[in-house]
Amino acid sequence: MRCCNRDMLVGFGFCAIVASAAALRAAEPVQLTRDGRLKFAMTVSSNGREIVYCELANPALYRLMKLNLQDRTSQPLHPKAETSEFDPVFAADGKTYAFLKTIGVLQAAIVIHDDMGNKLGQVAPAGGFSGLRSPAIVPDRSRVLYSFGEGGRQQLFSAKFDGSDRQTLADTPGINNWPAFSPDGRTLVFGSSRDADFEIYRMNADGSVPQRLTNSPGQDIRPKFSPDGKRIIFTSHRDGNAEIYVMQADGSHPQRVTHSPERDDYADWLPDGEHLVIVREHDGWHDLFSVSLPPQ
Amino acid sequence: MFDVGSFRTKTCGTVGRRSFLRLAASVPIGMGLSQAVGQQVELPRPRAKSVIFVFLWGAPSHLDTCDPKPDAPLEFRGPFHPIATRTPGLNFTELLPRMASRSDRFSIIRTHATSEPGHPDGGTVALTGFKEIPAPVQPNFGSIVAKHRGHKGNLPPFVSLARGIVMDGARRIEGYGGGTLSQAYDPLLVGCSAEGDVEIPALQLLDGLNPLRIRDRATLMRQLDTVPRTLETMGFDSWSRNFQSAYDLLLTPQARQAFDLTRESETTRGRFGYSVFGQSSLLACRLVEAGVPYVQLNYSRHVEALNPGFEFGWDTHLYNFELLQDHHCPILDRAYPALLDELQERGLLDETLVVLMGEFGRTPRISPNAARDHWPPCYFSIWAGGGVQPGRVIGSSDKRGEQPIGSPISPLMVGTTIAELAGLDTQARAEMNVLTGGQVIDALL
Repeated sequence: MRCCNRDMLVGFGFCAIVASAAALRAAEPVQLTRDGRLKFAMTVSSNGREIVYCELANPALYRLMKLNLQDRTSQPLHPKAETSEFDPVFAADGKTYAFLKTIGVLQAAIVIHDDMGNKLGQVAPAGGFSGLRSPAIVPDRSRVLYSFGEGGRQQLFSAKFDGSDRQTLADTPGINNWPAFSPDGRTLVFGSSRDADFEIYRMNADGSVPQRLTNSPGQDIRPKFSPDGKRIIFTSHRDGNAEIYVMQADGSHPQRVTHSPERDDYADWLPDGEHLVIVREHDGWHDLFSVSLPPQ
Repeated sequence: MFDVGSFRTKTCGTVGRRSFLRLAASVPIGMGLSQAVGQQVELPRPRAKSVIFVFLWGAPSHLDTCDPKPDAPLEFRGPFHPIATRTPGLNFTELLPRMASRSDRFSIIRTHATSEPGHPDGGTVALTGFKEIPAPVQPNFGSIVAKHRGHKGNLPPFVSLARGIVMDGARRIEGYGGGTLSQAYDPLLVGCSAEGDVEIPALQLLDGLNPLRIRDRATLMRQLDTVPRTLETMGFDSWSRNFQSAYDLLLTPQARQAFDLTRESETTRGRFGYSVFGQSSLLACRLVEAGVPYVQLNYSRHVEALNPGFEFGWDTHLYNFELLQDHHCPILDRAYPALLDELQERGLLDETLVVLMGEFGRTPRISPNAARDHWPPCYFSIWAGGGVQPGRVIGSSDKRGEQPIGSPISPLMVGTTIAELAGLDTQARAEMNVLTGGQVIDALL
């Protein structure tokens, strides 16, 4: 589609890169896709072999793509999908995954699949204009969490894979979104505008003991725990545009990870806990890149 | 790349292949539509040689973009942080940092109001100044300018950048074209992909036609003899006029070049972003540079976001905050500043009027499903170049963004001001019998 960016070194296998953090740092950021299409939320499988991300396939369609990290090839996750699919997330087993799917006029449901393409469940929206958002699968794969607008605010809920037994986890004014589990499944981290603009919060998995972790002007959004549960990455606009930050799990010691004049967003951890995959806007294109974290 | 693409439509049972060839043959080389419909001369010098009307179809939230209300209750203000612009006292939300950094190049009106709460009617009012009913439908602002200016060379006087007539679902917006001035002043519809590939829907009926290979009339006619094609059963007259405009520009190298974005550097194209709206914005800049008097730059062809089969517009009844944050505002905040920068660097901004707006605002109170619905009583527009004084903040909305403070500014006033700056004074508008009763927004001048 376009010429290579000479600053991006991409001429060697990703497995070799992961095996050698030093080599990766020397070469990074490493460009993982090259089509340049507009990209959004993504999720890395727990074995680090695949990334599923959302791209704008055409002006009317969000499509899920699967990137094989060994050969760097991308292909549609659901080649026959005719309506938009977005917000993918893997469960801790690296096989079960959930995503949003438009099922009608301004209606979107959560669909849960296994890695063989079998549908495990669907959480349907309410009637009228209605859509769930930002699914997260409980580590034991018994339930799915999500964000849902109701009563003029957006709350966090959990339900079984068929949508039954809905329970409220966060019920506050404002927008609550992007729930993500700690590796042990006991803690949730999420973004909320309950106090002003978006900030990062954590709470117990049952919704108790909410605690604010960030306090900065501008959005702090899309948090995710590290594989060891000790750190949290998130996107922040505190320095003027979207960049990736990392902090300790208690909110202390925030550090900036990316430094780009354009947008860096939608980060997820690679299994080694030392590298991230992000969506980077570069010269007007959007691609996946891997970057390493700064020393702690 | 400048391509035609392929597109299947119903076979026309009444218009045969030979009659189509006669139609094409009836247009001599080098003779544009201007000769067919008449061309005006000796015009007074306009302040705006060209107009780019940036249509944020679907209607953006004013509170979440250019009129934030950080002191309003949480159920109104939304989650986005206000940021300062270069204009004293004017804040945007954090979703538009590049636009905020260029506010000294434009003026903003925050007191628009319209009468129509729905997209089809609201769209027609936004583009013509008048309701669809009672008939007849009045002309698009671009059609008025097109009639006043006529053709320049073989370039069309009015181009609408979208892959077809702008639609609300399956219904087209009646104010898209010539209205009472006739279909002769409909826009030439031109689509542009995220990679900058240009397509002209009027030519998509001719499967296999490649405009890059067209060098003369004979070549075109040979191609027409060999390619299979179909014609729509409805609207043949309208299609044929659009085809004539497309045919004219295909046969003119200078005109073809205006549509060829590959002539721009990667750096320039990247500044606009590789999105449909980004590359369309660059195309609008090139068309103005080539002399097209009026370009309607549509953000999308459809209003709905996440509606199967429809391009994502600004109609955010669902996922308002996510769509603005993830999709619409990053695209707009890259392309619109790049458009102003590019026009400035090419010495065109002073003579090009750039107007950016939707058809109405969105509910200041967050809707039950945590989004925002239609809000006709209060919305905004942004004006740059072409005779407009920059850096002005015209009017304000109340503390919740629900109503304008003072007299509201109507779509008819928008059209009247555009026409005035494009060289149609009161007398010219009266002689054309358009924009009747409209007033110029003096605070912009």
